[in-house]
Amino acid sequence: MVDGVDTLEQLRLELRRGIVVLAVLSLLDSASYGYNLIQRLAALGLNIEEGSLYPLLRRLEKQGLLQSEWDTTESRPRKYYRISPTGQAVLTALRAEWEETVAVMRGILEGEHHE
Amino acid sequence: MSELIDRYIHQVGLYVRPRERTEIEAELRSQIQDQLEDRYGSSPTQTEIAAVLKQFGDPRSMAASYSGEQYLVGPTLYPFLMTVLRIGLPLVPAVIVLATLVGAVLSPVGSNWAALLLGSIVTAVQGTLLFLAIVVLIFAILERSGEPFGEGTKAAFNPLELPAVDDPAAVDRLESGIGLAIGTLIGVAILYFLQVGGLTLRFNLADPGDVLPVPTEWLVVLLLTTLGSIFVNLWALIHRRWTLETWLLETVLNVVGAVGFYFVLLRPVLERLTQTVPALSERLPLDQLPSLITLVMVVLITLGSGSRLIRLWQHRQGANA
Repeated sequence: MVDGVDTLEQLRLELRRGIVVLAVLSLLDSASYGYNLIQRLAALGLNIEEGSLYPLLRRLEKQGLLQSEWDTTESRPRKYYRISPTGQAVLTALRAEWEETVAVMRGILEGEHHE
Repeated sequence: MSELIDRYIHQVGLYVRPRERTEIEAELRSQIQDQLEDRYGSSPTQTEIAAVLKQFGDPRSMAASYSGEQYLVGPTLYPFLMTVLRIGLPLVPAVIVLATLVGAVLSPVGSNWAALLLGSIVTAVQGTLLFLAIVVLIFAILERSGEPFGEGTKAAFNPLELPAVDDPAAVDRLESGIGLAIGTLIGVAILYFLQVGGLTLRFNLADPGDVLPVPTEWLVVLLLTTLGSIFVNLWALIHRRWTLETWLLETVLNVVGAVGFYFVLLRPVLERLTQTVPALSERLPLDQLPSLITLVMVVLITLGSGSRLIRLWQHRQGANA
């Protein structure tokens, strides 16, 4: 049973990995800093650990999908992220892919294609 | 307040790439402070800071997430590495023990068999570890050199261009694996022989024991042909095919290697044998034996490789027609 639980957790993580990218890109049409983004995602029902989100933001920035800026006008510096034009194009394509996948998966899971 | 945060960030910084360290540390500090302020205000206690840091997770895990997936040898080269190791790891100690025993028979000095057995086991362990290290090092260098392996292969793959079942350009992974394993072992041994100035079966730089002098220039030739053959085989394994040029080069390297084998091993060992056991040379015509063995080797290599060379040439002619 322990193996089953571990496998389920592993599969759940794999399933969420792509979804998190889509969610982050979707929310970053307005500039947001890391912790604020975690809160916004949690408020929408998607809980992401700090150890996953912060490295992801950095990775997306390196891939050119996000752009960032340090705000030094406040009491301490804070890094704000926003989707880049490349990220916007990727998001549009990902969103279409997601909607198509959801429709297909709904059909599969609800048994429309079962014989 | 921030001392615990400093310790956490320092630990993360130890495990991330040096060129990204400053930036990641600054990001982390800002993110930790955002969370602390939101949850506990401007003056959190040590316990509250610890609670937030616990949520960020183990520093090494956090650093690993920043580094992404990293390989010493990636998934494309891994099967080839395992092929070479699967063949080499049992082969290397067996060859070393056998060579040590043969060496003891040829040695002009009497042998203590118990010490010899113990010495051969120690040498076999050393040789196996060295072989393992060198093979992994070669693959790690390959992993980091040139174009990333495996990238773009999906786009370039054309099922209509799949090789025929009896394709002469096909690479036999087992054959190349054995070639790489033996080549690596021979290369290491030659480097050692160059260092001690001749052949010996005691792999100990400080005390190489009884050294049989051999021509250094031929040791160098043998080393170059061995290294050349290793890289040609690796090239074929990675590109999954032999070309007319690479197989011709492999053939030439093998022929030159066989000649080198004569000067570096066959002739010196036979001379030693006739000195150690003079009666043997009186009863058998040993003088011609090294030349004969070398000739047979060259003929076998030429015939074996030649047939494939002809098929590769015909294959190319057919493709060009």
